[in-house]
Amino acid sequence: MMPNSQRDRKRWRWRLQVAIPLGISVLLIGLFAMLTVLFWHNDSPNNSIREQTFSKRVAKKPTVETGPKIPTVTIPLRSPTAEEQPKSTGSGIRRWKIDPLPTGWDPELAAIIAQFAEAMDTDGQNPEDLLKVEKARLLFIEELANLGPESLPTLDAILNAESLFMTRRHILYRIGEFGPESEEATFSLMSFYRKLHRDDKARGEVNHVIAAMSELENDTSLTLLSDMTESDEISNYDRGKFIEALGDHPRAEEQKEVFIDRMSNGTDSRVRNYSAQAIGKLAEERRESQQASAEFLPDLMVAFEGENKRWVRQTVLGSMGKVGDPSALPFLEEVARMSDDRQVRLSAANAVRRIGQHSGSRRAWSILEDLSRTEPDGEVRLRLQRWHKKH
Amino acid sequence: MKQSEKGFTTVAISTRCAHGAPRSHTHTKNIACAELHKNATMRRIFALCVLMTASLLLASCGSGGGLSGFSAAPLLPEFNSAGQYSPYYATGEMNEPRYLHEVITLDDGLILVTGGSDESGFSSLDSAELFDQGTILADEAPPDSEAGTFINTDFEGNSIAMETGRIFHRLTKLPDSRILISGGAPTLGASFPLSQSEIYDPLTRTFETIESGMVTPRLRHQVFMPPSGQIIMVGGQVQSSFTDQETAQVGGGGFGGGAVVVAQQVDTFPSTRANEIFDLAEDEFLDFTLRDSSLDVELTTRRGRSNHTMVKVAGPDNRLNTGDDLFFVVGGYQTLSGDNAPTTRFPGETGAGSQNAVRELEFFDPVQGLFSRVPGYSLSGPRINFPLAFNLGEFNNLTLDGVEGMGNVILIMNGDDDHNFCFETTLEDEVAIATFSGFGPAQGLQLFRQTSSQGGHFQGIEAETNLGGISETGVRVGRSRTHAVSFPRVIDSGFTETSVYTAGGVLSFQGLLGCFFHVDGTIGSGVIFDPFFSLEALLDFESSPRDPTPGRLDPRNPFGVIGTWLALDGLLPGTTGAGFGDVGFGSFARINSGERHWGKIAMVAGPDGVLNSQDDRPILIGGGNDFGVPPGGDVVSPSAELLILPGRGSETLGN
Repeated sequence: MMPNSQRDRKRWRWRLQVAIPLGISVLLIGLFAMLTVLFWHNDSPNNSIREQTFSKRVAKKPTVETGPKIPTVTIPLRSPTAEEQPKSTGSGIRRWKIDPLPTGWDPELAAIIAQFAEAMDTDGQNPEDLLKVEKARLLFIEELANLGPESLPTLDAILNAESLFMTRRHILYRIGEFGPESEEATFSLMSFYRKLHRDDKARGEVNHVIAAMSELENDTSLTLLSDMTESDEISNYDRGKFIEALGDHPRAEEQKEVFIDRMSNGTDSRVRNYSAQAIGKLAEERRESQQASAEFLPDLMVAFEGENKRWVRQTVLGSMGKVGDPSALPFLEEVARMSDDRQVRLSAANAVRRIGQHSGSRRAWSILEDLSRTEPDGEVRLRLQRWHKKH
Repeated sequence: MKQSEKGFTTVAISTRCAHGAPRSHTHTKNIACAELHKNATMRRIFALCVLMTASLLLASCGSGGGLSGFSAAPLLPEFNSAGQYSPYYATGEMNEPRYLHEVITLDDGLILVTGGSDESGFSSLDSAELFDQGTILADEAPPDSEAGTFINTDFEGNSIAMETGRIFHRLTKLPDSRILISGGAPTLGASFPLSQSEIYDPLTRTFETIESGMVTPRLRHQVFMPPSGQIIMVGGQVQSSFTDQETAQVGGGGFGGGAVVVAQQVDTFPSTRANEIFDLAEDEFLDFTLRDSSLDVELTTRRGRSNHTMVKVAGPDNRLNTGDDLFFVVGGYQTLSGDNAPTTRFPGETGAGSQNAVRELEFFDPVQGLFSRVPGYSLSGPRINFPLAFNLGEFNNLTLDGVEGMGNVILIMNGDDDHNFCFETTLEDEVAIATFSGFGPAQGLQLFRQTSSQGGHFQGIEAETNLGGISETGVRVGRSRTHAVSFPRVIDSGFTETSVYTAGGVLSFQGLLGCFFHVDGTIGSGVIFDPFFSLEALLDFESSPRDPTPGRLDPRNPFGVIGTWLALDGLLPGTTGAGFGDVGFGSFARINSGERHWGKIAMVAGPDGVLNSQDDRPILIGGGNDFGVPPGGDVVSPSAELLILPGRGSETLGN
């Protein structure tokens, strides 16, 4: 492609100055024509977010008088009156085109949610619009908070049909909050997870679905979350998130063997880390209810020894500190003195400190005092001295 | 390790130390411990056994067992099995994918990621995480990605979180390696700028809130550290309130009705010219005043500046990183004041666009302790929304006229006019060169724009065009709403030069037929700015299109900088131009995510474990699928990806 003569150079300059701009102009005209045709033939409110964003930007050009009508956005500061509510036509609210409607569909609720969704679905070219969106979003969250499990069929159908991710996000968290009163909420979220989890474009949303599942706190979710930690169909990334969600379940104690197993046998470092973290949480809960949790120590020690990631080792040591049992002191002291990794030594010394705080062990404080004198790394030593001084 | 039927661990204790350093020998005693573990009644003895073994194992770790420096990154190939340049690697995903966040490379080689949003700026994330690429070991089960992991737990296993969610905050590395997190706001909407700042401790991976609030809470500010060691917060937007009185009719228009005056407080967010300092000794914020005086040191622009960038430039001694370095303030905009100031921080808040952009440059002179306007220079276009400026002498080892370095040349790039209807991306980047006459204020500072006959510097040179094949002139691609990084690159003549990499973002412009947005293609291919490669020289048949010879082509260009943006095709042109445009249509490497708007880019050390060396890698972190307003849309997947630059992979086919 190198120009090798004066003529070639002229040809290249011609390309630069005339042909390329001309070609780009032709392309742009073609593109615009194509988009215009598309807009004429597609005024569905159920377009993808990308399509909506683009179409609104172009359609708002003042010259496009004959283009598609952009729906007027009104912020529902109150529930719509009966006259204002869109009537269910049997095919669902126009925004979603849900057909057939599920049993238990609430057309009034759907009309309210449709208004909120449209209020939040703006291109925001006027900054004032964005303040309205901000207000509408808060009111939407408030509105959802007033709903009970009877609205689940409506929310579930809308969740699966709504195009705006912000609307979906708050709906799925509300469904998660139905969990303690509704086992159906578990199935709704699980179904949504199955729909999304292989979609590369939905990775962010999948995280929120799993986080919403952690709100379920019911019997089915305990079993489901536990099963998901073993599923071969999901990524290790999701598996870690499921373990985290299971660790937040009020009955996580019943699944302690799952955490112990994943902590030592998980092939992914995040899975091991979330598992070790969950054991720490269990230990803290037991300590708050005056129950011993020293039984976790052998497994934590094994996990520490088998672990090759610094940060997972630190989590394991942290969980040993949360157990708070002085029987771990010899192990922790050894690590705090012998490890080559200054951050691991710091975590071990911190676990010693936690045991001192939780059990009142004088031995723990004595070890910490000694470590604060003998620690070879100046920065770590300073930290240990500060901890000891605070005591 | 194996799992017993009851789910108990049957233990095969690792024969490696932490972080993969090989142990000197295997300890078969662990198997005995495992047998003890199977028997519940023997667990106490088991614990003791493990303890003893632990001592032996820890003692057996060599010096590589601990890691006080960087994590060693795995060597990754840059070409796929079909021989195509395929350098982008999805890393393990962020624990919370995000955009509008901040990133900073820490002294230990990890990258700290803080805050941002995954809901178009209507809410923010308080979480933080760290990218660690040195986590993959040869004998470990295959993870989701071999290009690193994001860590989200602190030194005792708690999730890492800031005190509050933040957008448009700043991360500043303090001299003691801790990170100052200053300012920002919880949303892009009407929320107030945050008064409380925080300190991140890399040793514990925890945040601590600073008791002293900022003198003037602000967001979209900049922070710099002059040689005096002061940490100075510059400009940004602050909160201002005024009472708006409105006459309202009550009780209808008839008898009994009347008019009342309703007063309501309205909050706006004007730009500020006020600055403040963070006193590291006392961990507190103070007014920034002249030495031995109570006079405030302010920006020169009347209504201040926000959404700007800063860059360090060599002072009159022409040497970078010395006491007379100047700190340039570039780009951004000044808002209207009073009730005309913006009521949100969403993109497009400037409304009218370019008329609010600040095109003048100003600089802080540490000798005088003042900000002054750069005489006779203004930007070629408005630069709002992530404008960037790099010193092209940052990594140079050239010696010109006996002067080490080349610290007076600035590359100014990216940004748009923030128009709320159809924002215009500023197409051309500009290279500005500072010179000093020795007379007058700031030793007679003058800034020259280095131009080429092409009229500027185009991103996307070597990019494909749909007019056929590779175009040497490329397509004009500016970009905004993305990020860039500078890094050292050794060119084939043996010099180290400063290169700049950028990818993602958006090109928007007002065409004859409407507003057009370019969000993929070249935008997604990523480009490198090569300061010594001259497209003009190539077209004029010069034998060395890359030539860092002083005075070449342009008498106003004493440092030889011409500059060309090169798309990544696996071959960066050498001194002779070989490798320029050698690949066919569609052969440019593209980012995996397709789009990255409002994302960040940082540099991580390569396999040598040393930052700012030849094998460093850019990493693209976060970003959204939608460049529009409200910004971000849903987060991109993968949430981060590493780039292996040409010639830096395990197969070094590039030059």
